[in-house]
Amino acid sequence: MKVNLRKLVRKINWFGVIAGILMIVLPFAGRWWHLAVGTGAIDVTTSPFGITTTAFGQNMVSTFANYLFLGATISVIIAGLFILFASLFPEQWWSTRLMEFGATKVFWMAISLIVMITIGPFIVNNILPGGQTLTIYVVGAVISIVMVILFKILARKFLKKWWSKRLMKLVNNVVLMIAGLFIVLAICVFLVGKFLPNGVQGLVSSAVPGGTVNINVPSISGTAATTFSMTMGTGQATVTLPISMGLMGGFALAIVTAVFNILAWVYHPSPPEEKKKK
Amino acid sequence: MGGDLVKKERILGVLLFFLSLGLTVGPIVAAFSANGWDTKATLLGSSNPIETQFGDLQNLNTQNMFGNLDFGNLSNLSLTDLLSLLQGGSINVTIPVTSPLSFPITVKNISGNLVCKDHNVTLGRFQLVNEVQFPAHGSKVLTIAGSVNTSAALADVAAHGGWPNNIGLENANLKLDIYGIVIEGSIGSI
Repeated sequence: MKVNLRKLVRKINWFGVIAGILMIVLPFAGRWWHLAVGTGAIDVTTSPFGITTTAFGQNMVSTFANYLFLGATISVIIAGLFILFASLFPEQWWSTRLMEFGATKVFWMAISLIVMITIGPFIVNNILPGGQTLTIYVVGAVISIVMVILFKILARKFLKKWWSKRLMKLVNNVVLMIAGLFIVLAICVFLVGKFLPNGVQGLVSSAVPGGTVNINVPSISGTAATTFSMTMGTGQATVTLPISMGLMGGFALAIVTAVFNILAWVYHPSPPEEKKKK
Repeated sequence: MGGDLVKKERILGVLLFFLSLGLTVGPIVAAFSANGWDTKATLLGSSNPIETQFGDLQNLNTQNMFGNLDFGNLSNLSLTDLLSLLQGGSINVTIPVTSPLSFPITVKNISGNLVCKDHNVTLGRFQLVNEVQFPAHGSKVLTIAGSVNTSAALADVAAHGGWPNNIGLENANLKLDIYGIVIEGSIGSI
């Protein structure tokens, strides 16, 4: 049997080959994000594959976090291998399934990190002080859900190509996640309104006589300072916590990997069921 | 033939779903199992430096750091220092201090006024000369510059017929730096 090498090479999903290799390398390419309180009071560097936490010069180790990150590391390496095989043999019956297993993993990991370091500070800076109304978050959630339904209907009606359906599925999931975030924010606003009517300031004032708190946490990347003031006896004491955070080199590689993953997934041939329909 | 392929493809889909599930749930079960299903030990580990170090901060008070300051000792000043003070100059006083904390700390500033408590007269002012870094449980000497409010102090010395013994602090502030966290307050409140 004569094998046409040129034909084989032409069929390889090269985006997938690159994405697969990048996924295998990614867990060992360094952390994605760091957080520092003071200069060494608390230092956290993390990625979905590991976390290093030091508090007052001592390491903090959580078995739960370590096992969870180990699971994510194994998962991404397996997904990378699957994408690599799926890309080298795109016409095999198992190829699409293997591709779909890991094609959006790194994308969602990167999105999750960005969401956490955006929404977390937003809740701390804007919702915990209190005084927010639910309306904007409920409207946001409703609009996002309506968009998801509309996209689904339009996609079913107008999108015929397999790659366009895949892209639309990804867009829909992102909008669905945004809807989820609005719902989470709405729940936070509701809980703060119910249990902390005067916000975190009210909580501090009731716990420490004359206590005030000025919360200021940076978002994604930057530096800010949170200040606690309290009256103790006849005197006043103030504690200032400088907080800084920023994205690290590993995150840049994660973005590159996610882009190649999406390209590989979109470019990949359709599954057998789809071919049968054609 | 085509039906077989679709069937195989679906079975693979199910297997991959269980692989995903196993890689998510497996580590969680393994983590709890490794710590004998102890939630706190699993989530936070065996040592929690934040808890122990914050507990240590309770030792941080002026009594623990400076002991009982005896301002009556100021009456033992040398003649040169006394003359310098009376001419409006300042003198340096050294105070040995031992940190009660098990982590490094920097004393960035100490300042305030000395008052005669009997007559409520401001006798003078004091200020830390240079910030001092203390290692864990370390001992260092603080150098504090003092100056005297000459006319008021002389009047008070005259009223007492000697150096007043009942001396206290007024507007006395302390500024500490612990790993970049700045704690600032009046002496007595910290």
